[in-house]
Amino acid sequence: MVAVLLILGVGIELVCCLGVLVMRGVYDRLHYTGPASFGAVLIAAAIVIREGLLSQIGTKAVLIVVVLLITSPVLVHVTGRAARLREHGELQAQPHEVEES
Amino acid sequence: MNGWILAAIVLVLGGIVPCLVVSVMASLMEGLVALELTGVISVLVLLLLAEGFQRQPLVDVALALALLSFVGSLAFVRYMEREI
Repeated sequence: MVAVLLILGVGIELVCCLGVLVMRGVYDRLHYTGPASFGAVLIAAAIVIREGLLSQIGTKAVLIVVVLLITSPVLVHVTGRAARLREHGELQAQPHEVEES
Repeated sequence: MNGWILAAIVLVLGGIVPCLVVSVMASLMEGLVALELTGVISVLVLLLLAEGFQRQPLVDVALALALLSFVGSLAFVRYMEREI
């Protein structure tokens, strides 16, 4: 069980890195940073199963995962926003992006 | 060498090295994306090393890095919003 969780977690991280390496453009690359925190959940679960939740490393692994789960979506959102601001100088939809109705 | 240390080595070679390549080769914003992913992966590498060497207090380093890499990336993003 521990080995399966560990291999799955590392595999997800490797797929994320492969995606960031292969894709072109900020937004395409940004999509692949999201699942990285899910891989962290699996690795921390492997550690918690091995050492127990109340050990020092188990408690802190859970704490690290909570921090990553909170900060990762914030970073993705803020980075996408900054990329958009760099491209267009404002967040509003450009005239050619608005669909005529 | 046990499985935890092996996993940490795999993460460094297969995770941090591609992000380094992207940071060097791609544009500024794409490099920033790779830097954010590197932050997550280096936290996991430290966590795995602490478990692999059975040095439990070393997890504090990983926790501090998780918090600081977030703040560092936010500072980068703040200055990237305008064209440099």
